[in-house]
Amino acid sequence: MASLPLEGIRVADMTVVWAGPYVTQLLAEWGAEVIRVEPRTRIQPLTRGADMQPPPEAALRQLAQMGMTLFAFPDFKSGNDPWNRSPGFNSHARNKRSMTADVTTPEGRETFLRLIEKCDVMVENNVPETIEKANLTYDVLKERNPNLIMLRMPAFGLSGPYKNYRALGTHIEGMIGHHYLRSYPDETPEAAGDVYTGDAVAGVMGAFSVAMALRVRRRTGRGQMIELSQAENFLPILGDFILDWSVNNRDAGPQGNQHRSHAPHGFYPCVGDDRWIGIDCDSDEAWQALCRILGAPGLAVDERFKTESDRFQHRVLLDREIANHTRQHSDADLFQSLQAAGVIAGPVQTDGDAFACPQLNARGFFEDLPDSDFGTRRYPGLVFSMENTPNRLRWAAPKLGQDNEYVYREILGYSDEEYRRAQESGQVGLGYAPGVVPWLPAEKSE
Amino acid sequence: MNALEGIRVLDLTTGVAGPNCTKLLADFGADVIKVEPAGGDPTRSIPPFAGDEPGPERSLLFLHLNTNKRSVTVDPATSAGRDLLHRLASTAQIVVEDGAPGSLAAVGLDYRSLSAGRPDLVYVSITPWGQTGPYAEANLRASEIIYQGMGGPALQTGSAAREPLKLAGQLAQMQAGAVAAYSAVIALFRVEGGGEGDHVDISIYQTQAGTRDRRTISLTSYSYTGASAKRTLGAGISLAGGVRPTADGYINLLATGRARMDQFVQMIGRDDLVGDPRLVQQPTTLDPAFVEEVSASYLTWLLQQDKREAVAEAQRRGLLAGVVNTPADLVTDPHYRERGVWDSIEHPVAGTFEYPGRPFIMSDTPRPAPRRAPLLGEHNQEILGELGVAAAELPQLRAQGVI
Repeated sequence: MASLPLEGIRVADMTVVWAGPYVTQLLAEWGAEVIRVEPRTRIQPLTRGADMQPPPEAALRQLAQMGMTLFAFPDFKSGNDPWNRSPGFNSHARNKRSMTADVTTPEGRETFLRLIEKCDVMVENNVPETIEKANLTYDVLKERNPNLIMLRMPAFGLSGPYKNYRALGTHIEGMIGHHYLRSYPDETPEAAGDVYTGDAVAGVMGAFSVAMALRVRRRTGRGQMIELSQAENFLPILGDFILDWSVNNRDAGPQGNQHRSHAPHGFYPCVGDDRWIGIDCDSDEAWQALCRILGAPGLAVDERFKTESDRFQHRVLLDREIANHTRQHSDADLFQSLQAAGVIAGPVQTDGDAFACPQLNARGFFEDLPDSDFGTRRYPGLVFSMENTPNRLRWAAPKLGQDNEYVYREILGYSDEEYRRAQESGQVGLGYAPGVVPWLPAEKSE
Repeated sequence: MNALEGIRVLDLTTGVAGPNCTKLLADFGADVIKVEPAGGDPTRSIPPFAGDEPGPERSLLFLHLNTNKRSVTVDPATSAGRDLLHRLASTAQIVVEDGAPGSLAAVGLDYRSLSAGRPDLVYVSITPWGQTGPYAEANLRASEIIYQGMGGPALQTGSAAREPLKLAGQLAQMQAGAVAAYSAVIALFRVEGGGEGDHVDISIYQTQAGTRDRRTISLTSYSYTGASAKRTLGAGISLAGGVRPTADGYINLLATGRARMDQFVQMIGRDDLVGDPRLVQQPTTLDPAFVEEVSASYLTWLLQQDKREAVAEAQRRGLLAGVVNTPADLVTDPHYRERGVWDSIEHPVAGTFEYPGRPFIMSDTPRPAPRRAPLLGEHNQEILGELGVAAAELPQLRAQGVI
């Protein structure tokens, strides 16, 4: 059995929120030892997800139903350590380790620099000024480890007018045109809501860049600094739309669910609450099969819908007609019957549907991981597999500070005395210092 | 040196996901040989076209996805063509393909055949569902909107008053291509360290089910609580959140917490609300009249602002904010201009224009200067010549339909 490709690679992880953590998730899953370095004195709410007031269970449930699920703790119980229970954190941090050190203090900074000496890679996605103020730029880290690979992935880059703009994925997506292009064609962009696709793409691309730098380092013996502007990184995803403007001066406009030529193409309502079927009709044969299965012989002979260009031209009307028919069917039935007839179709899956999906389960996508407090839970797993390299998730997300002993003592070689001092100063500890999560009673925050 | 110097990739893909994988490898220095059927990659006929004039060298999607590659037209259905492809494969460290599972076995271009005697081969397969599982076995059809609806966060995207909303363009396929590029390079890294090659199995569907755009979080939330994420009717998480209009367009802003909410109300001219406890309450628990009042003040202020200025002001105050740019805004935006994001690339048929360029900057191995997408079969002579096929043999191969 082959070893995991990144076995032996150690990564210092100072990432926050979603994009950076996705990079280190992908590195950890394929064998790298990823060590998260987190302060005990500040909580980044979208990273550890615990700065919200502790609302009653009903409010939490409502929040979850509203689409904001970062605070959906196991069984809605925040416990005394909500920061170890956030699905936002626990969905990426599996396979990682957690140590505590506050790099904005001289002591924590020195600990971090000692860690850098023992690492191959350092990843961060903070606002540039954060790293500059902490005096932890590449020039500084290189002094301690000349072969270090450092990946910095701020929202907009390390130079330019927007250098220190603060943004989540959804704001970046506005800035690069994705929000506009994905809006409903017949509504203002307000209705399109927030998405965080840029985080996902930056995560994958960041991992790709680190993998290449590791390959280079093996050949040249040199590390390097990688600058990934999350905004610039997303521009190529929209390449054809941007070229359409730069070449043809055409603004394709909000696309919604429409295709450039196929019709019908979209998500159509089905029997049940918020049930939908996706349909992509890519030929006249598929169109006839669709009409047959929907029980719509009238549509099949309607001259307005005869050819692809007819259907595309009348797509607004067509969508309405198709919806009137799909409403009488279940999404599961349509998925089966349309696919059997060669029509591209698939249900819009709820989270529950995905967990029950025969395809994902046959491929072992979901995996169970035990947690010492809230027990064994099922998690989304690896996004790809290698035939000769069996691979699984190894352990659940680490509790804050869980691996202090291992990192400080074994990796950094702290003496008993040094370690005791780090505990006394508060750098080393389990969980946040009292008062960091103000809504928790002080006696419960240890 | 280039990041992927010395690496040759045999590219047996069409469409979007595979070509985006090999584009990323090519853009960072790999020698990517794109094998096309005589009629060309079908993407060559996908609109929009340069100058709106259809033609195999004018598809903007194709031109974008195939920079830095070389094109050879070889027909694997002929035995001479198969032989050429086998010889090409033997010179490549990485093969990327997107055939239906098992389909390349018939022409001996599957992993089993090509890795025989070559344990160091990295072979990447990209398919809708993966190489295994009931949907792959049943050969279910899929396309972008299906990947997003089944795998991605479509049910959470858009307005609760409307149908779920797809993300723009070919997002799922582009992302799967990037995942494939990552997998190829880590597999290569193991090989170059003296380890074995491997067969990577990419399911586009699965890359969406595991995407960090909300899906892994909502799946984990569901696993923890049984509650499924849904679309909302508007700004659900903050009094000051979401997309709102300005005098000349739209911005998206988010303020949460005491300090930022105080900055927010000062920005919109409501200094009287500084310190008001309601600003940090859950919006769902607030008196609707108060929400309406803040919203009205915000809109009154916003509608007198230019969108770039409104965002600059919010950023000066430490708030999270961005403009909702159109493609036209994008190409004139001073930030991207100043940083030199755009690549101006000449093309003999389509013309010279600016492409979105580097995804990231590597300090020690900068991306090589971008080369335009290849013309159909442009490198037949060059590539076959490298295999030892004499130029004089080409007319016969052409006549036999091999190339």
